[in-house]
Amino acid sequence: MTREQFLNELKAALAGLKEEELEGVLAYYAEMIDDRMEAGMTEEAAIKAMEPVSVIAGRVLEEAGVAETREKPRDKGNWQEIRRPAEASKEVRIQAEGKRVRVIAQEDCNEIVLRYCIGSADIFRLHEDESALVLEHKLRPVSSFANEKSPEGFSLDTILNSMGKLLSSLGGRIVSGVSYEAPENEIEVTLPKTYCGELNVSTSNARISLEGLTATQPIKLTTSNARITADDVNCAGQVVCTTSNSRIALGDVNAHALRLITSNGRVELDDVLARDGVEAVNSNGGIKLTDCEIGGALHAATSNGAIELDDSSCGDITLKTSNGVIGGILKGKREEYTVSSSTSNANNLLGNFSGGEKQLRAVTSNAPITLKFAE
Amino acid sequence: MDAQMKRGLIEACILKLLTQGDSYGYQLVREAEEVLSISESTLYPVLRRLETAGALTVYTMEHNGRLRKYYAITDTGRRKIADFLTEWEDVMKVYDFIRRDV
Repeated sequence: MTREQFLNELKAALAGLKEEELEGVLAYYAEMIDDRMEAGMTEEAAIKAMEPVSVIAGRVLEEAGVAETREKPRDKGNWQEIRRPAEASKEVRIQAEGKRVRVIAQEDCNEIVLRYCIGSADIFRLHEDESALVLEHKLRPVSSFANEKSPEGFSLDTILNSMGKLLSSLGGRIVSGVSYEAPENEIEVTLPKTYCGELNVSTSNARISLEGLTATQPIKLTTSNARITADDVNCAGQVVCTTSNSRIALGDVNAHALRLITSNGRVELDDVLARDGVEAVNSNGGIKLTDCEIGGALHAATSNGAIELDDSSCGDITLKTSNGVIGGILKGKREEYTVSSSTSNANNLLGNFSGGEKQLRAVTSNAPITLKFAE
Repeated sequence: MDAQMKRGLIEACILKLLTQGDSYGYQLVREAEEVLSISESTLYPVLRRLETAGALTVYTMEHNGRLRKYYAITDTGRRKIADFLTEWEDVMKVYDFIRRDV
């Protein structure tokens, strides 16, 4: 796509916005593209580095919508709460469009609780049988609610945005965030502290967070253009996280195996234990492991980003990037590994040697390899 | 991170970056990226809000034969940073309390 085409698409997607606002947005993105090209990118690469037009337009319209309705008292909305015994289904599946999904776990609770608000743009359906409890959410087509000028449900950070507006002064009031109230653009899923079914969450353009859960079955989290976070999670099965244009961040996670896929974002693992290996795939972004213990193989592949392993231990290791450093400190001894590493146009401090049982392959270009062994 | 918290942090970070000198969109995204993840589409409304709040001013200057918008922090913006730091001292107290003996 050319700069011209991109700006035209953006303009089309923002039809209905006030002229003055529109010009501001177009000038801003034109400048971003020009600055990237000035920094050495080709026109095509500069356009590719931009977020999708739909995402940009979503944010802008959302912001404009909030501004228009700021003075109006917000509709309380139509809150739903669904409770089911945890053992009734073998799987909890959430399929949403543009809604944030927040999964939490509660001690002394043997129920699955789904809480969500039905806004004017939302269509919810619940299917349930022994195999799965499925909450399906769709947004009405844009045209039908754009006319209603209702920002709710359009995109999902809308409510948070208006909350943010109220919190115009920063810090102190953030404390009130400790007593959490679910925003209207969020589906909140509460599971028992130890949950024995599968968890399968998919949404789009909105984030997914998972906190405090111990699961005996696999977990699958899928979104786009938004981050996925997991904190304090134990899973006896595989955990798969897939997003795009955003970050995947895992902290204090103990899983059988992990598969993490994003693009144009970052993959961050902190204090993660995976008995049977980790696969991390990214592009145009880094991959970082801190204090991780990977029982099986680690495959980390990206481009235009660094791969760092800090105080982490792994079995066989494959690290592949380009234009990014491969660095950090690997727990373990040099003698345990057979190493093959290469880079171009930069120093390779790791080198090549054989003898150890574990395989370590590291390939990058235009950046040094500084990975070391803790010894 | 919670969205509203992140919003406050981004605003404060952008203002902080501007205390180091006037800057433009692309540079702000790159510099802020080192501290927290921020995309162009996130930055735009932040800049607009800060402008509306009088925390920064915008001016246009020619650069390599085209126009580029520069952002400059105002006294109100500097006060916002000071307020942020004061208020976060309270947040840190709560943080320390929650963290204790965990």
